[in-house]
Amino acid sequence: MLESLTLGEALAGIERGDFSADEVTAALDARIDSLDPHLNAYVHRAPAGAGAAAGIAPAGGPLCGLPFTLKDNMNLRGTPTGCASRILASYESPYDCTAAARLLAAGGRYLGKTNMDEFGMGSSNEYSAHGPVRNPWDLARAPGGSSGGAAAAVAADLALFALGSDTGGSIRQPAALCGVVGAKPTYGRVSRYGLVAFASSLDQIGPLAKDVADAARVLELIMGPDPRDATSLDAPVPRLLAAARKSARGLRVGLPEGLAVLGLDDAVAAAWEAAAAALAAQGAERVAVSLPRLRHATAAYYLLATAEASSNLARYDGVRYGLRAAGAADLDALYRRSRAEGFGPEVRRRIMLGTFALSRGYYEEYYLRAQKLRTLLARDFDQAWERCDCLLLPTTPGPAFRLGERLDDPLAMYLGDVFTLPVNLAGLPAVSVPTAVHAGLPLGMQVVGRPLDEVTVFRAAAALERAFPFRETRRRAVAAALDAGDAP
Amino acid sequence: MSARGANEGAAPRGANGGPAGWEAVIGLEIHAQLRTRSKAFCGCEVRFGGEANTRCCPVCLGLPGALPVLNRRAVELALRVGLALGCRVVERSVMARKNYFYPDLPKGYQITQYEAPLCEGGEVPFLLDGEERRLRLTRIHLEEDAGKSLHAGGETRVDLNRAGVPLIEIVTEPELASPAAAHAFLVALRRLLVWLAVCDGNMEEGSLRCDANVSLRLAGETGLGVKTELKNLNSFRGVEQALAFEIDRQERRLAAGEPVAPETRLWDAARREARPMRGKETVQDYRYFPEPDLPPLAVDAAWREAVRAGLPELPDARRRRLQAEHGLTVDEAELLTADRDLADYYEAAAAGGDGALAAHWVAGEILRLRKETGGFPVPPAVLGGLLARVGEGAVSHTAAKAVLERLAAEGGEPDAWIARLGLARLDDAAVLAGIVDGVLAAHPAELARYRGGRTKLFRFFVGRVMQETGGRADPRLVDRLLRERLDG
Amino acid sequence: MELGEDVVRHVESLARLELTGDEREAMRRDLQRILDYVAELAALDLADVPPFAETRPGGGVLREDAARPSLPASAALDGAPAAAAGHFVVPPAIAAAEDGDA
Ligand SMILES: [Mg+2]
Ligand SMILES: [Zn+2]
Repeated sequence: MLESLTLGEALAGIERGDFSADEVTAALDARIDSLDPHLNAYVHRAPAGAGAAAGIAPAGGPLCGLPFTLKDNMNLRGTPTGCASRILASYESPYDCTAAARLLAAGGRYLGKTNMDEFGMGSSNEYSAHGPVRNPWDLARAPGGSSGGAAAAVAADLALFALGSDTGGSIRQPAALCGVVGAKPTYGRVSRYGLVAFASSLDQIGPLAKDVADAARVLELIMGPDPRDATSLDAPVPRLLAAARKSARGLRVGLPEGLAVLGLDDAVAAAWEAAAAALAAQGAERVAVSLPRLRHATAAYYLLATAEASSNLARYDGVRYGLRAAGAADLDALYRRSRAEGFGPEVRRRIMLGTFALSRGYYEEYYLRAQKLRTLLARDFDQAWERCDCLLLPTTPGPAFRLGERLDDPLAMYLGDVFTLPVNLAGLPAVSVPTAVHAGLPLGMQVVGRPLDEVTVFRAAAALERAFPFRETRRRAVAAALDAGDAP
Repeated sequence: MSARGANEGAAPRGANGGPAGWEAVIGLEIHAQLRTRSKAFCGCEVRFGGEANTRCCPVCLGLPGALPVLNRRAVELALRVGLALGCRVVERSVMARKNYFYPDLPKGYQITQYEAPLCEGGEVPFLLDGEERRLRLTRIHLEEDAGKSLHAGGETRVDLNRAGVPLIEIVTEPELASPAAAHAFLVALRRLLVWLAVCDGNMEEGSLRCDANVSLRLAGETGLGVKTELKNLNSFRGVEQALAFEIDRQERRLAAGEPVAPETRLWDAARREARPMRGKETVQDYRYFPEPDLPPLAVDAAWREAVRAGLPELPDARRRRLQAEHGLTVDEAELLTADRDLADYYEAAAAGGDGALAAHWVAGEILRLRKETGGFPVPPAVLGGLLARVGEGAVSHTAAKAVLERLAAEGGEPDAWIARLGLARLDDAAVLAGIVDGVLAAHPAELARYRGGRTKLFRFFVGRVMQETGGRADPRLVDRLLRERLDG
Repeated sequence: MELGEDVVRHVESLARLELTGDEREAMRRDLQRILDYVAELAALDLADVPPFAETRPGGGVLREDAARPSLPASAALDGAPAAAAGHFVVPPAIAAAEDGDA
């Protein structure tokens, strides 16, 4: 069962000489062949037999030739970068994204690109030109989004680990809804060069992995300054794997007051309390903190993220690459038809909202107020750090919802990001760890840290993982769901 | 000098100098291409001409996922201009996106500065009819150029080699009162930009471009009338002509009681008229907002002062110094400070000698030869040596010109050429007396008429002596010898 | 605020999108609901708060002015929907040639 190994186990096995990286890749390939038709997690796959044997990826290095997946919004030469959008349906990039290049340089092997919500805009992975991804715990449910393909692939052992991107929770939310670990580092820790922008001031790349240690390993490989990204931070890369082995004793864990108002399922509230108790049992201290502007974060987020997106997506105009509508007699028609045909409904909605928020007469009332709220929210977090070392809060207000359930209600979809998006607005590091199962579906808890303090976040996340071992639970649940669905 | 200094007084008269009661209010916007090796936000080479779309990369093509990183040298060059003109340098200026769709704008937005430009205020000194004026600046900001669109044959072709080339935009206060003043200002500004090695000043290649706006008001009023914007002004002469045209047009409308429409007009140099741009009359909505891919641009005092310390003596100060040190007129000194090489040349040639004589020669012969060949004909020290001989009376002006021609063509030293060409001044009284006697003896008829009262014939005899000596005779000695013989 | 169809049309034009009548009405309703929700921001006193974009950390990252190889000419045009003689090709704008502003 090489496909069910963690990255840590695979590395240890290769070192012992028990098996090779090619064998691990072959096992994953076989499992993808058989199960991905049910999940729809992949949108592109490396040719079979590619990799070390074909000379594409060097063996050795910290990753020893083991495979990784990229989200469909990350550029890698020789592969399509479609962002799950019709407008980039046949697009191939002539350059590499820095994070992917670092994994290749570390001896990683490209396995494939995973499905996502179009341009990262969505929380269910239903807004994809390739169709929805299914949650491996329950094929009738959404895996979350926008890195839904990555989360589903890791949860179902269709990938060893995956890179996702997180603008308002797009790594942590699907990780929580699929029962895997997802990490979003401090804004600026991982280069965004080559990551197709959704909202530039919020986007970060991070890993989705089978356990906290794996997430730490991958993050260590991709972090660090990049001269090609002016927003990347010039800070040394912390030792996260070591941090994940440390005890949580003495950590002051902040618990924000008043989350119930924001719409918390009872089951999630119970899981949250259990997680807090588990950290306390390991010697951490519980501290009540207040984040008064948390309840306005969703409003600010959806104005700022869409404003940036409306500008970031202006380049998809049918002129230099991507889809061009046929038969446009003049330039304006070419623009408008190409963009109308190329973008799906949620992307169009967000472009419209963001364009509105920036437009003359509305800028001050919408965009600028949201910018100011963002300042206040960041100050709320700063004040919390005077009382605690990290925050614990649920990743999502509830478990995975049914496919189609929120499709006609964009606002309901947005409100599901209430606990993740404030973290992006403040640029903080966070890791989501699965800690509970409710009605057969996983729930995740999120540890949030000070800027650049990934070490504390991983310490606390590892403590949660020790308290709630999840691997067997996930394996059994996924196996059952894939049996129940007409999987072989 | 006050802002009104740029005006030519408040006496009521026509905006173009006629008798009516209107006065013009003119403001300019100058785009200057910065002399960097690479583009503003990527490493593509900056060069004019060449094959289309060959100096492009993911960043300046606006490919998905590419990110801008600002060129330090571009900031430095912009700072040079700002500091030379006495602007306030903003410590944390903000890069912004200006959003609009056009095929030569790859990202769908131009990276520029909006609310917090790099430089604010400042003023440009210039001469108008030999009088010192100053025009206040609103701001100087950094931005990127767009590509080039060629409209022909029912289609538009786009070359992005120029896309992303760094520019500064210099915006003046609307305080110029005449087309002639606008022209004089532009000449001075161009000289400064070239002087500072910031811009090559080449208008044919588009390195320097100017837009103008103009409105009229009744003399004595302080409010502003409705302005029109003039574009496609391809030369300073074009700016002057377009302004004159537009002032005349506005004046006739206003005189007839018709309103001026706030519109943009394109100057047609061939037809000598400015026509309104066809198309949307609605005001553009550029939806400016801070560029999230670029953190605020920090210029600390140390950097600012280092740039200031590297500034050369500025043309205006140098002109005044030349006037003071060498007793030159404003016009002479202005001409000799037309560019830095010329001013350096003049000062080196004049060193230790007669400054006025050197000014006469540099402004005359040297500039003429420089125009013919593109370079200075002789080293300044050689010219200085030649002029020293002229000053001593060792060689005549006419003879010195002949020497200069030979020096320019074949090199060498002035004295050697003077000797070789036999051009040394003939000031041996005994030799010259012989020649004078010979001339008188050869022209008995003229001598008789002179003695009979036709004293104007004196100049005839001088001419004959000069002819006999090939122009080398010392004129004062000739004069004395002739007077002794004719009047003595 | 009450979002009228005229505003939706204007924004649609700014964003270079093209909606059918039904799509436009659905869009108007969706945006109206979102704007009703974000209206909570209007009630806050934010007068003395600086915008986040101006206070964010960083600011020193600049590149040195060194020329680096560009993409091969073909790569720039590889994905172009239409190209001729080394140029990207688009149909003409109906309006007269605006040269942008740069
Ligand atoms: Mg400009
Ligand atoms: Zn470039």
